Amino acid sequence: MYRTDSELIQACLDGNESAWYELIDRYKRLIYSIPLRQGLSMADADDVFQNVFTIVFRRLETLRNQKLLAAWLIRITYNECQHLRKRMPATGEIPETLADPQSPAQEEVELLERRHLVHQAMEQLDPRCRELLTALFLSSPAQSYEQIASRLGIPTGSIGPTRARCFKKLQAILDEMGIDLS
Amino acid sequence: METKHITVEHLIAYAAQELSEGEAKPVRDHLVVCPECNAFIVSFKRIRKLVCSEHIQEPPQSAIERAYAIFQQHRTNASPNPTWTSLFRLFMIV
Repeated sequence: MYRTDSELIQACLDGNESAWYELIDRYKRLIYSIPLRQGLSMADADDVFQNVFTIVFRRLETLRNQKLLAAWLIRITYNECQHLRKRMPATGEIPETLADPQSPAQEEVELLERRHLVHQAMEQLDPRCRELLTALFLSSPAQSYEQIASRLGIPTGSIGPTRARCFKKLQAILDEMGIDLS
Repeated sequence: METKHITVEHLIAYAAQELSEGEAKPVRDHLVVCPECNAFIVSFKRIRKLVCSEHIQEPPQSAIERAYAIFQQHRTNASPNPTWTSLFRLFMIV
């Protein structure tokens, strides 16, 4: 059963180990993606990832508005990227992909947060819906109905209606999460 | 006059560019006069764009395992800081 961020935080603060694992699983992609996006190496991204969760473990109880967990994590991760960069020896070279090392702009935080929440909403779908919508959103070039039907073991004629139902489910989940994408 | 909306199934097929030109034209014409169906297409495209984001990346399993372990490490290393509940339990045992 899906736990809201607030429920998850409370369970973590109560010392529930499985809640801690769930928190990591929920935010691992978001947190790991930020240092890579900032142009850091995968080894550095690993360090940032560990540091962020160590800070989260120690300071979770200081988060007053638990609905802002994603934004809080994004800011901690950006700070850790900056700290790590300051500790790096100066090589005189600036990676071409290095993004703005300053704190993220509010729009950036919101965009990352929205991406994360949409991915979370997808995770809440049943596997068949998730696969259908993933094929719809991500396949390039688009997969034929025959290919999708054969992989999912459903009749070709039911792909369209099933996909429509799945998309409505996704919209309902996003609504419940308070995400307005209209 | 009541507008007859296009089905979600058909709108999705249109947004995914799966319709032939002959099938797509009536949808395109309808979208010009129907704010509701148009809003659906906008919402669909926004969701698709967010899902397709290239920057969401799965960390290696070793990094995840180390993050899991933080809970155990800190619980083991934490100096025992008795709470009222634990003191009460101790009292009951004694």
